[in-house]
Amino acid sequence: MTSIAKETITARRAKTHRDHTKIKLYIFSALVLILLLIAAFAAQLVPYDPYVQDLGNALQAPDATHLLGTDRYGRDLLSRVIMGAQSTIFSSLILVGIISVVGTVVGVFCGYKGGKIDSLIMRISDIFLAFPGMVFAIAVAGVLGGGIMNAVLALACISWPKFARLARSQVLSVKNMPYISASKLSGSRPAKIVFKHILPNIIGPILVTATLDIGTMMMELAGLSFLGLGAMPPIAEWGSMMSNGRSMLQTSPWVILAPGCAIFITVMLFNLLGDTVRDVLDPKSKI
Amino acid sequence: MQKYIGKRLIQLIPIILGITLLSFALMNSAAGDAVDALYDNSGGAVSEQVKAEKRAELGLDQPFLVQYTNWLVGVATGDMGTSYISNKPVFETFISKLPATIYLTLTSILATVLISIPFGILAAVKKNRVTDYLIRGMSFIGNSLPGFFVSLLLIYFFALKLKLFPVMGNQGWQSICLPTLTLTIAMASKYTRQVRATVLEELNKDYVMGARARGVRESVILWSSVLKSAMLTIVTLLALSIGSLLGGTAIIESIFMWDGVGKLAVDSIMTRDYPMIQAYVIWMALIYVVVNLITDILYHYLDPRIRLEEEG
Repeated sequence: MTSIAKETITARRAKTHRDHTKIKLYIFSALVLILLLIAAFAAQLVPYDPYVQDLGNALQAPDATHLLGTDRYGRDLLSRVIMGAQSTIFSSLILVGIISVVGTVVGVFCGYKGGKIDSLIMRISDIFLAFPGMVFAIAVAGVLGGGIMNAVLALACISWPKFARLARSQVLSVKNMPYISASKLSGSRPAKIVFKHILPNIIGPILVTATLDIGTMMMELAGLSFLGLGAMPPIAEWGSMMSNGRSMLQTSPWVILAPGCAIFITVMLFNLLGDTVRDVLDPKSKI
Repeated sequence: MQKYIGKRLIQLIPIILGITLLSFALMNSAAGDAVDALYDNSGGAVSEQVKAEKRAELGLDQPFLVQYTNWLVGVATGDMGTSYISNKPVFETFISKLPATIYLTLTSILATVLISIPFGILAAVKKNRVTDYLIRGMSFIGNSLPGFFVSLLLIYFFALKLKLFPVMGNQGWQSICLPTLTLTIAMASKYTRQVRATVLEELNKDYVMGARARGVRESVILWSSVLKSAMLTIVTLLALSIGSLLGGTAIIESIFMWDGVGKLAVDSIMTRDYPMIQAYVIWMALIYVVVNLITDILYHYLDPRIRLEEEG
C-alpha cells in the first residue's frame, strides 16, 4: 500500500511507539491485577463487616471512621464496595468467559462447515443482535428469577452472537489460505486443522474483543442488578447498592456515589487494558 | 423498487411467527403467571379457586400451543387482545406509549449526530495533538460510565441541586433534557471514536493524496470527498442505534419515569402480561425489518455500486 509512505513512520519512531505500548500494557495489567487481588481477598481487607447493621449509625456522611460513609442500615460503604468488587468483577469475568467460548465454538463450527446450518444459525444470531439486548436480558432474567448467576446466564443468552459473528468471519478469511489447503491435502483431520491451524490464527481479535467486552458486560450486569434482577439483597453488589441508594439521592448522595465511582473506575481500567491489548495484538485497527 | 420493498416486507411474516412463538414459549416456562402477578400485587390472600376461575376466563388453563394459536387467530383478524392486567385493549395501550419513545429517540439521535460528527472529524484532523487527546479522553470517560449512574448524577446536580429540570415524568420540554443527555453521553462517546477512525482511514487513501497533489484545498477534500465516503459507516451505526432506541431504553425510561415502550415492556415482563409482551415483540420485529430495509436503500444512494437486488 502506498499509504504507508504517508504515515511517515520511521523505524525509530515505530519502535518508540511499540515500547510505549508495552509500558502501558505492563501498567494496566498491574492495576487490573491489583483490582483482582482486592476482589479475591475482599473478606480479609474490609475494615468492618459489610453485612452487620447498625441502625444508630445510619446514613453517616463520609468521615474518618467511615471513609465512604454508611448506608441506611448503618453498614460501612467502603466495606460494601470492597465486598461488592468480588461479586461484580468475578461475575463479569465468568460472563465474558462463557460468551467468548460459546460464541467462538459456534462461529468456528459455522464458518468451517458452511451450508444450510450456517445460514440458519447466522439468521438467528442476526435477530439476537437486532433486539435491544437489555430488554431481552430482562425477559430472560425475569423468567429465571433473581440471583446474580441467573443474570449472568440471561446476559450470556443474548451476547454470544457477537463472538459467533466475529469468529465466523475470521474463519472465513483464513479458511481458503494455502496452508489450510496444504494441511487438508496431506490428510489432516478437520479437528486437527481447526485446533492447530485455524484457532491460533484467529484467537487475537477474539481475545481483544473479549477484553474490551469486560467493561460493557460489567455495566450491563450492574444494570440488571440495578433493576432488581441481579444480585439479591443483602449481597453487596455495586448495581444493587446503587438501586438501594436511589431514594436517598437528595439527602445522602454518597450512598450511590461510592458504588457508582467503583463501577466507573473498574470499567475504565478494563477498557484501558482492552485498548492496549488491541494495540499489541492488532496494530492495524485504529478505532 | 416497489417490488424490492414488497419482497423485503414479506420477510416480516416468518420473522414475526418465529419470534412471537419464541417469546410465548419463554414466558410460559416462567414460574408464576399473570394471574399470580395480578392478585399478589393487589394484596390480600385470594383462594386458589378464584385464581383458577380467572385463568379459565383468560384462557391460561389451556395448553401452550392452543393459547398461541388463539392469539395468532386474533392477530390475523385484527384483534391483539386485551391486557391481562389493566383489561385495556393492547393495541391502543401500546400505540399510546409510542410517541414518548419516538420523541426521545429523535432528540438523542439528533444530539448524538450534532456532537459526534464534528468532534470525530476534529479529532481526526488534529490527530495526536492536544485537541485529539482531549476529545478521545472525554469519549473514553463517557464509554466507561454506566447509563444509570450518569442519569442519577444528572438528576442530583441538575434536578435536585440546581433545580433546572424536573426529576421525572413528562411535563413539557424540560423533561426530555436529562434523559436525552444521558443517552447522548453514551452514544456520542461511542460514535466520536468511530467517526474519528473512519475519517482517519479515508484521509489515508490514495485519492486524498491525489487531490492534495493537484492543489485541492484541504477543506474541500474534507467536506466533499472524505465526509461523503465516511457517511456509509456513520449511517450503518446510526441505523443500529435508532433500531435499538425505538425499542425503548428500559433502564433510562424507568429511572426518569419516561412513559415509553421500554418501560411498558419491562412492566409487562414483570407481570407476565403475555398479549402486551407480544405486541412489543411484533414492534421489535417491525423495526428490525424496516430499519434494515431503509439502511440498504440508503447504502444504494450513498454508494451506487452497492446493488439492492443482491441484498434481497
